[in-house]
Amino acid sequence: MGNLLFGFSVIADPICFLWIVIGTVLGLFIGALPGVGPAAGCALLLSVTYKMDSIPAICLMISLYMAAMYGGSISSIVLSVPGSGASVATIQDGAPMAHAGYPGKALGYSLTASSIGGIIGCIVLSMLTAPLAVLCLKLSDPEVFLITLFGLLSVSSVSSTTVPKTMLSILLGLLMATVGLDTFTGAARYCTGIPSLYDGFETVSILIGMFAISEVLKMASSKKQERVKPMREGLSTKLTWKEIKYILPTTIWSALVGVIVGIVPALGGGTASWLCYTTAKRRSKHPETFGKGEPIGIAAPEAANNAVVGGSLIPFIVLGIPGSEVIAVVSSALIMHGIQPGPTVINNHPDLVYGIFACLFVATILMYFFGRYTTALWARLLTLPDYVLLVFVLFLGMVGSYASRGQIFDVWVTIIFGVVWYFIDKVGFSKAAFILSYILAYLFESKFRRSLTISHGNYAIFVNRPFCVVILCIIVVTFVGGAVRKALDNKTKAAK
Amino acid sequence: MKQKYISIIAQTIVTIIGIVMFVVAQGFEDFNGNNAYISSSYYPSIICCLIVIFGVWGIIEDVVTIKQGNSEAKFKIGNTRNLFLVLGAAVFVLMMWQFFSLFYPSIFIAVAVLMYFLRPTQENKMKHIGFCLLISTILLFLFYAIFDLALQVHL
Repeated sequence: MGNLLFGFSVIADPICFLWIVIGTVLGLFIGALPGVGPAAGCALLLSVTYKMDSIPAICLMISLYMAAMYGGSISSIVLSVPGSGASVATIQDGAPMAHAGYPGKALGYSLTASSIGGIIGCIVLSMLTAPLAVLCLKLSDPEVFLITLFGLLSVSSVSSTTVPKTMLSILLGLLMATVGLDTFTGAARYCTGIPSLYDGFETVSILIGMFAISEVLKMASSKKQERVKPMREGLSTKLTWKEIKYILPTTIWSALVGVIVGIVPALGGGTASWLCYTTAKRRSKHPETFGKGEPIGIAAPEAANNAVVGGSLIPFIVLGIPGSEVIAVVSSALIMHGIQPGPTVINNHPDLVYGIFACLFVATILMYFFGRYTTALWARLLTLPDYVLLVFVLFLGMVGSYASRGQIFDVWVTIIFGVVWYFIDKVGFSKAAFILSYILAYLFESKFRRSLTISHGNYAIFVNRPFCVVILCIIVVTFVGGAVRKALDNKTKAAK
Repeated sequence: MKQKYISIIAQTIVTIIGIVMFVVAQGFEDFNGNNAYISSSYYPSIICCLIVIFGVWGIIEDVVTIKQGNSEAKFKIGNTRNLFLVLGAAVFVLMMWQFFSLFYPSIFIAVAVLMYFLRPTQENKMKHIGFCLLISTILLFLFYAIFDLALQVHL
């Protein structure tokens, strides 16, 4: 509790608080716009945060992430088009309720559940992080290497693409991160004589290329569709106590499930919201009401996807392993500011860690109030045409890429990477796997090589420690389990 | 073209990249001895080998799927006109920026042209052009305010 109060004192700085407010408002806006998710929003903001102090920069991104998770439900409900992958499940009951003439009620259920989910995520994050970090400080290089490996492989076991494609995405991310001067030996790796490559690829350029430029190309190449006119009437999000009480139990357990899902790298809000939606439907006494505007069908996915934010921060702060794509972008912002996420960060930068906890609380509360009083405005902004958005994101992405190092080379990397990823994504490579491995690559390689240096090249170091054996068992179970599940799914599909 | 064929082509390219990177890695020059497990080529070589293994696995999997006749999905790019317009505008701005240091004039032209072609055609041509120029001017000043004035990033 004392630590949390310390966190509040950190973000009580007016500048920091202002960035949280800006992040929340931007998050609602970005979340509400179909096609621009929180990851793209944070990637575009990276260039702005470059000139900021680390705490306001991270607060800006975290508050954007939290608010965008609710923002996504605005277009799901008002437009029947999901704002982000995490809000697809909300359409199932949000859209029918809105079409029945109650868009405000649907948004009210979504906002209340999102806020409760966000707060529960914050509470679990505040309670678990410090003890887990103490535990993780006792881990040595081989254990951290294996935990990182587990983080990477868990992506492949939950990814919807085939095992080889997910593994290739992971390996390409790891290989791309080796470009530049080797920190162990000073050798230039894959630099091909280009001076800009001696520091490796600029992470901002890669992220903007992947999240912004490839999305712009997707938007540009999509067949023209008539934009659905959003609803403008009945958007008041006020709920009665009786209505809140009806969704409260489901909201609480969905939030807890969301936190757990958030801890597993790359599962993210989409998985959490679908898992909670289907579970809520199965547990319901009236499952036939789902899909026809059932309030619980809105509350369950929304509580889950906001709780994921807190959950995905736990492995990030404790181990330096991002729990989601957005946290991977946040992680690169931290690295840009010279802070390496991991168990030592809580001791070396307590102001940052406890500031993040407090920021999440404040952002959730702000999200509730902004959502309560400005949802109608965001619903109207959904009329913003795709071509304006596309042009703005394209050039902002290019300038953002340049701003990080002041080199045109980075902008070329962004464009080329965006184009390559646009095609590669269509073939089924995993974006989440690539980005997580790219961000984790330094930790992964350094721990691997340090372990081998300690053991004089003997690989037994990864199996002769008790904790290593436990982690290895978990890795085998997760990886084999994932592969078997996929094989069974493929067989079922083939049989159908 | 079928999705699976494109998938095979993509995985073949990735496999070739793996092989080329493996060969390149053997030429890395270390400055602190030849200790094999910390040499700079050791770790990338492992990654490259794994890329080749998974690349071949993926290709075999796709070939088997095609032989079983489960590869009906077609590879679709979508609206290629818009795609090339966007890419053309991006490359135009980059060239002008890199070789003539004309960021703002080039972005003004690129935004106006993009807006003109991407926006559904209006009955009144002059209004349409006016709208595109207006958005172009707004974006220009927005970039100037955010980057040149606020962030001191001179474009």
